[in-house]
Amino acid sequence: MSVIGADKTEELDTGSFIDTISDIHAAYLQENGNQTTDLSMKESFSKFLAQGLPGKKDEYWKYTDLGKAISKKSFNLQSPKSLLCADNGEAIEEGAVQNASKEDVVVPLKEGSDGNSLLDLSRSLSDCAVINHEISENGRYILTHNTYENSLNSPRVVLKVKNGVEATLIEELDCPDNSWLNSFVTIEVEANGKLTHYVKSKQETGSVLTSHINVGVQEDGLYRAFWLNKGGKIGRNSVSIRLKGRRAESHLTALNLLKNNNHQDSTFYVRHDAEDTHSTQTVKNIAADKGRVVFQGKTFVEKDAQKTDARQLCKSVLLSRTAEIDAKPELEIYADDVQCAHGATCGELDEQSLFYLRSRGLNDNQARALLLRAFIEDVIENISDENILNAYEANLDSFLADINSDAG
Amino acid sequence: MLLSIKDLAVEVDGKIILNGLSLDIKSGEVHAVMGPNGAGKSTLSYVLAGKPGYEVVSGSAELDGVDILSLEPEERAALGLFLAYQYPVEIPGVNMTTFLKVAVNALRKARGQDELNSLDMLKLIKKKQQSLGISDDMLKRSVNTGFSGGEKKRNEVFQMAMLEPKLAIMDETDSGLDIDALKAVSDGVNALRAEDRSFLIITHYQRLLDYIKPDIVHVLSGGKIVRTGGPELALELENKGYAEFIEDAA
Repeated sequence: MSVIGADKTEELDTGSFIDTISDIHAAYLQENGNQTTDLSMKESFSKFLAQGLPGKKDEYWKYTDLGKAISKKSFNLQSPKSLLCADNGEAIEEGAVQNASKEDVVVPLKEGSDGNSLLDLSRSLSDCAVINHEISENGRYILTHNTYENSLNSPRVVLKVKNGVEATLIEELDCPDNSWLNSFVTIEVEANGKLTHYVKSKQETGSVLTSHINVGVQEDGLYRAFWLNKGGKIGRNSVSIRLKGRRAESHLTALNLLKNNNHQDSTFYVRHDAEDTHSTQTVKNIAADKGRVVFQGKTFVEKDAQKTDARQLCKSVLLSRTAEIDAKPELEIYADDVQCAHGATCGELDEQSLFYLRSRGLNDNQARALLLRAFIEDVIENISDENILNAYEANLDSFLADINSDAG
Repeated sequence: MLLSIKDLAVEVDGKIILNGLSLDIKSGEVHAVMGPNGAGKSTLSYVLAGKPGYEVVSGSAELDGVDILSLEPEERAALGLFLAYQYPVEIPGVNMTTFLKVAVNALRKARGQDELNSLDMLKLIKKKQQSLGISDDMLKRSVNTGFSGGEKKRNEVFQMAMLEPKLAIMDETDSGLDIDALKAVSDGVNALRAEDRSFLIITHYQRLLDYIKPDIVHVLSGGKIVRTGGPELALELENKGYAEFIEDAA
């Protein structure tokens, strides 16, 4: 091999991961494959191998080098699993490959190659989506992915929110120790449909999360999503939205709270295809210790999408000299009658405010907690679901308390 | 002696601002410190409150016998020091009521008192807000955010009433106030006068002292106290201006 320096190490490391996974995949097919599915799964696996894991060389993975992060890791391959429940806990669809012979309508995430190799990886483990469900009644739904320790779970889920239905979807992204959840959730919101999607991620030590959410919104439809992330070895939410019908709306809000060595990436892509469509992207980041947050947000406005209103905002607070934020807001506009705005700020807590609070008796930790809380207040107050709000609050409190104990 | 400052010298950005300032305040007394612009009036209030960036070069300041200059700002607050700011800081997103609860309980805890529960806290707030004309609306808003100049100053006095300090330093509280607001703020301060509470009123103009009658008036110029007298000294300054003291200090 003629490659030199750091590149060489990287390539070798990636190679060793690919080597292990090839053997494990062969064994997986023996156990889980059959004559009808083997061929397509093998083919997908070859495609995955040809592309390799996404990393620095890929535009949308420049700041999240997945290949490097997991080069020394090895995962068991589990048969993809997801579970869709009603609010009362009753299973609606227990998604596993064996009982699923379902249409797989996952489309590539965006122009370019983002996520394609990971989609091929998913397709190498099942030739179909594990859940394909039409939501035709208003209500709350809970989606979980049953991922095992030291394992790769790579399920694909397809949901359709039917015409005029108003639903809430709570998705739990639990990643146990050293696991890798590589999920693909495709959602179609039909005309006049409304979906509020709350994503709760929980990453244990050494775990990797690459969540992909791909949404189409039809005329007068609304898609709203909230994330609260604390990151992991790698945490990544890749979200791709297409506003297909007139007056379709999408509102994406992420709260990234990072400490230790955690890494979190929010990569949003919103495409306005139709007139009078409206989108917002709001990302608030707090990074302490060596925490690192990546925000890549792109708004793309097609030439027919006149009267588009698109807003994008990324605000970050760095609490230590070693924390890092990489923010890349982008606009690409082909229509001429639109309102688009984007902004990114990054700073520390205001010294004047800190002193004011301390002069009233709050200690440094209390003052910081109050100001950090204030920093994200506008995000929190938009959450109307009480259960979710409580869960987010608890997460938030523990994060702020953790930071305090470190500082003290 | 409640406050005892001896030979205090303070540097800001490498420049000496206070230069051998001495000042004693007994419990229950109201002292006014007057002086021309640039005399070091605000520096005096900030260095006592513990603002970062104000470096003590020499001298001492004791509150109730405790040397406060090495203490954190919150420790000084716990000892009973309160600063009413010339420019109260706007803190968007921090709700007034939440802020008051945290502050009152932080001080109670530090002073060895039981923390107040939400109900008792609300009762206390209700009791204090009425006399100062603090509206319910102000309590629902973020700290000082969008408050008018008068509202901000009234809010400082309201916090003073809530936190019950032993020594309240009022830094140019009269600046930017119209006559009605000045009267309202002064009434609030006068209602807080007590045998176990002292005031250090820092002002450029005599006007405020028509409403808050001081026991003792000092003239601060060139970083030190250059003259001390009774209330009549304020009137004299009003008539003659600071010119004589600026020359003296130089």
